[in-house]
Amino acid sequence: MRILKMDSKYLKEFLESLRMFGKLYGPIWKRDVLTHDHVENVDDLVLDGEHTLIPVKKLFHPKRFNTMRFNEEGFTPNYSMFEKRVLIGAHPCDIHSLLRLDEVFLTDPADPYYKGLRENTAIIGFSCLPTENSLCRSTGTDIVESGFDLFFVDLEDIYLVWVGSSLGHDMILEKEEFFDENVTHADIQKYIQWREMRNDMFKKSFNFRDMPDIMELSYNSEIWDYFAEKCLSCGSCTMVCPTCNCYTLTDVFDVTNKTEGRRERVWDSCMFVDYSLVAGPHNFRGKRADRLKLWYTHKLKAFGGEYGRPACIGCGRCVDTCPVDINVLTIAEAFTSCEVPAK
Amino acid sequence: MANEQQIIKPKIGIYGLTGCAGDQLVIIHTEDEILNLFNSVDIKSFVMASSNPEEGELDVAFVEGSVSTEEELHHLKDIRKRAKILVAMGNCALCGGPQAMYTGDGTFDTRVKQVYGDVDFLTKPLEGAPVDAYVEVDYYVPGCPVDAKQLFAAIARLIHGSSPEPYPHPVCHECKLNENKCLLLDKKFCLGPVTAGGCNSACPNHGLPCVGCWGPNPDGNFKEHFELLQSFGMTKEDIVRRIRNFGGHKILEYIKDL
Ligand code: SF4
Ligand code: SF4
Ligand code: SF4
Ligand code: SF4
Repeated sequence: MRILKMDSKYLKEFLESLRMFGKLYGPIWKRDVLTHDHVENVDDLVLDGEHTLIPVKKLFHPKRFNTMRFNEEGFTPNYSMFEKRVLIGAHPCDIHSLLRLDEVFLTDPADPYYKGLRENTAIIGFSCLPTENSLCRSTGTDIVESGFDLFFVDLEDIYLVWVGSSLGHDMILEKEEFFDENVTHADIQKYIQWREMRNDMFKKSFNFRDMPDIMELSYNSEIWDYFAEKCLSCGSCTMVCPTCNCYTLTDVFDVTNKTEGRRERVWDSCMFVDYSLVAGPHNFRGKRADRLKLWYTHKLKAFGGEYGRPACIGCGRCVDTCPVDINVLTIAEAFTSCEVPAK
Repeated sequence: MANEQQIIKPKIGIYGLTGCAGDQLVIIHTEDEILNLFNSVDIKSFVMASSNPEEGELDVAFVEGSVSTEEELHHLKDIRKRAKILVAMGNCALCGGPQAMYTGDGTFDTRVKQVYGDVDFLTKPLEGAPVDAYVEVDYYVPGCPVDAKQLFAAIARLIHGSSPEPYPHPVCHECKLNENKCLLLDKKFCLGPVTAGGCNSACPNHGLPCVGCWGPNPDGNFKEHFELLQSFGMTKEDIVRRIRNFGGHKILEYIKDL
């Protein structure tokens, strides 16, 4: 992979130049909440590593949209959301989350909405510093080797820039004068020091590697009941987790006597009571403990049979978000020590 | 070629018992849909649209408001008899509304006397109660008032002979879709997790707590939520008082053991 360096003073101008490759998106503040949205002014971008409340998945797996319009003759898919986009400021964990979602949504038959949004979006990654609850060092997702077009590592006066695709290469070519092939020993030293400094900043960790076995062994543990009694079934953990991908489809008819309407797709959660409700009515996961088990099996054991790896990419959002402290840390701790947390 | 099929428009009636008429207003004020509605159903009775009702057989009756007088009870029973499908809409019809917040506290007669003294009523007052306390209800559309999108989606399903889609999720679902910071994380009061969703998290969108106006979320973990709010320094009495503001009859079964 090509690695270049760029003087930090060019950053703004370079990011501006990316508009020719698509509409700019990235983390910006809105109503006191950091969110991935359209970027009018590159100065608004927040590139220091703070996490958005809702992860980047929302740009590829929209929270709520109409998949199609239908009538008696057939249906017309709604691809109106496709546009050329450049996503700036994706952290390593964001990029890993997209690679995980790719396994779910791009495996044949691919999800056309996700695929279209993904294919039309360039990814400009940015290095970050750990937040209070970052766990990506535990999950091995603190660095990325693929999944971006360009990746910028912020070393204060310079950026080291990894070129990850031919599109990334084209972006560099447009502003060739900003980039220097000559990465010196001093630059490399600086990078190594930065890595060490960053590694030392992680405040929390957990034993991610052993969790699949522990989860398997604990499937019938009564510890689940302790968490089930606490869980509010609010679904927040699912909405904020970058690798949760479940959705529900609802046919919304038009107010007319003709057979026509739209099919709406909305993020769903296995924490909600009707998630496993089928005709009958039978509910495979009516109990809160069973819902939690599914969630944590996905995150810490295996993401369904086909996708062998646990889905957690260590962003720490479940730790930030759950009002009653049910998260990968407390779950891992309880099942590793076989003790429930002290009140 | 088959002849073009004669479209049979469902006969509907829209009624209000004791309530603020807010749900009926939602229907009449939804400009995007009101003409579609008038074109696709045969409205037999709707006081907000016409003062010449025809009170006969109905395919669907929508009932807003709680049953709060004997006269309303007779009216409701009559509607039920005439309607193939009865839809309760809005908190008052579903839970009893704010007028039912003291349900079960002492006797109703004592409370009536306290408020009104000794008066002769035109019709005998009853303790405000949800519609399903007296008649069978086929579908429920919660809200205070109902959400136009949810209500018209339900109406459209009924027009097409299908059943409305339930939305058994807490307010928190839409609150997170709307990317709000959770009030609970700042140790602030919010009833979102124990309240039926569908309001598009109207209050948390403005940094205000959910006060439970859509009624209880049957899946809510009331016990833990009460404990959580108490850990913020609230008293149980205060939480109970607040949740009963809109919880009416329905909330009682969820909090009876707490
Ligand atoms: S684990 Fe926490 S965030 Fe998730 S549904 Fe339960 S209470 Fe909500
Ligand atoms: S944890 Fe639950 S909501 Fe998340 S992807 Fe798995 S089944 Fe879906
Ligand atoms: S399980 Fe928690 S830490 Fe892991 S990816 Fe999901 S929100 Fe982030
Ligand atoms: S602010 Fe209220 S409604 Fe929103 S997620 Fe928190 S508890 Fe739920």
